[in-house]
Amino acid sequence: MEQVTALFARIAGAGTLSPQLLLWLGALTMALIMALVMAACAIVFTWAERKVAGFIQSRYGPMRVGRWHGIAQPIADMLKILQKEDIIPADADRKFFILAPFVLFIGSLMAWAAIPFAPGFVAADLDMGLLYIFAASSLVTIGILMSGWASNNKWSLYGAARGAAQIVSYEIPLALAVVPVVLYAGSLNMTDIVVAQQGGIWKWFALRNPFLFVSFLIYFLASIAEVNRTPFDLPETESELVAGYHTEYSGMRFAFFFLAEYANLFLVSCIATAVFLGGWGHPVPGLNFAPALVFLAKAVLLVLAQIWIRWTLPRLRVDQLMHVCWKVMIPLALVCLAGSGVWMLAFVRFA
Amino acid sequence: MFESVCFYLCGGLMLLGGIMTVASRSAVASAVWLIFAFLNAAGVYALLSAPFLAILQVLVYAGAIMVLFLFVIMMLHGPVMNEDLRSRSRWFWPALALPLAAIAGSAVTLLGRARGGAFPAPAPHGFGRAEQVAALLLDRYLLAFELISIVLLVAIIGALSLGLREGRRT
Amino acid sequence: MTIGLTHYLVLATAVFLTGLSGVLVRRNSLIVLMSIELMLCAGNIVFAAFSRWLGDASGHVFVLMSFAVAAAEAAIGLAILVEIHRLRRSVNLDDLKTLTE
Repeated sequence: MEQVTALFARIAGAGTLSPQLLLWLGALTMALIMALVMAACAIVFTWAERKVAGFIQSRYGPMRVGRWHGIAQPIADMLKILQKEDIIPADADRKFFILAPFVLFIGSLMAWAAIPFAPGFVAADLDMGLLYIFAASSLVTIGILMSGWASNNKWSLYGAARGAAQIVSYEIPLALAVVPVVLYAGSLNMTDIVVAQQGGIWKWFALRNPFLFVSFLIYFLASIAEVNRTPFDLPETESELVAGYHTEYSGMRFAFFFLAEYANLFLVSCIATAVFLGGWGHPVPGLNFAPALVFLAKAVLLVLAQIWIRWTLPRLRVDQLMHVCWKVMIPLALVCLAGSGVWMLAFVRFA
Repeated sequence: MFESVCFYLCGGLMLLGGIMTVASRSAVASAVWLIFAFLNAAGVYALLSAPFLAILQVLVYAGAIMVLFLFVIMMLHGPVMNEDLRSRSRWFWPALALPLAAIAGSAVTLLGRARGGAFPAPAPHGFGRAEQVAALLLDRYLLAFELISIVLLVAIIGALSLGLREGRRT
Repeated sequence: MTIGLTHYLVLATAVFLTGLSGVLVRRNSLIVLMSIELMLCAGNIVFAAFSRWLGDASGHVFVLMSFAVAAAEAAIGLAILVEIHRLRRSVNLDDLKTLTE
């Protein structure tokens, strides 16, 4: 953000723009960049999802559009979705129906602001970045509930109710899993957390001690539930609920849901990368030219793992879903928290 | 100047959210307006140099409490949705007059005291950040912290027992 | 005129009284609960404002306590409401007067 502001100041000439205007311009630019990143990752990941699904099911996936392996398929899809008729059901609650996709989208867009992609490349280097990300992404639940309610459709309502219950429940193990990391890093600032992991692969928080590794696994599983993907995709089960809370949405409004879903998928992977996997740090010596690419590569690998899990595992039942969360993951996360604390007292020398 | 604009914006929108919460016909609209009011309350906390509270306000109220409210409203569905505002209690007009009188009265007080309670500017370094609040919480207010965790534990057990009794009956 | 303590107190009073009027006027117990949350929120703002005024962050700790109490209140209150709805098919306060009759 500081760099962007400085860039604007240099373009306009020093002193011609007031600092406040510069601040606004910088913030606006960063927001635009983040929105573009979101759109781009949605485009790339829809293609990746279909290709991986194809390979797992012994077929090719999209092959026609674009020269190479259907690479232009998502662009064709996007053009198609833009032309679709925008339908608002007659009995829907119009105001909330229109508002819901935006709430969902804003929730995930806001969270992007605190992700440190590279040293200094972070839209808002907040003191409490980690807490802020959790707070911002909790708005997504409200978007889901609103859409399910406004659609006035029993499938949507079921989907929304399941989604809310699931996301609120899984937020607890998700947050508990990152607490040991905060303990180690001694800070809630995302950049500080990444910087604390520099200097070799054994500095990564996922590998600092066995408890933290389990925490990482808990985080990863809970994050899959957080973004409503198989095996935790109860809110949008095709075979039971048509499409869950976005059943009634079409055209551009549906595109917002779609975009937010893939952006969230990438977001949780980015958080995992920053918090557990060393951020832009890597073990290869002499490879220092593009920290942001290292960061993105790790996050994309995590996304691919999530896609792989989606096309491999069957879906859980609702009661199993809640059982896993409340009776397995939360106690385990608490044990890991206590274990990490004891480990720190026993083996880590404080500076 | 910037601070005043932010205050009037956040404060005004928070008040609007509150009024609409009370005045909306449907419970869902009420809940959504209340979320709006709470988000603006987070802005007010940020203006009071309490960033930790601002973030927790969003996390706890918008992310958890209001989701619970919306969830229950949807679960109960039909009968709770719309309430005829005309079948109001005899307290309606006095209650409506209350906030109006308060706003008028406070405005008069404000005008009367031109230099009313300006904050010591600026806030001390690190004021209201997580570290400071945590230090207070685990040091001076440790007993209160432990007690509040017991309150939460009792709330969990209470909510569970209320829910479980229903499960056994059916 | 710079924004000071008084402004925040006025805001909190107005929000608190809005919530109070909601508690008195509305018959839908869900909305009454929401109005109570609004009143708690107004109280929190007073804590934070005085904390800023005195330069002592103790007020923030009290706000945290109030968050916890609000969460507990919402959980229990809503659980009770769901039970009442199961028994009475209504959450309207005017229908829940058996003890007064």
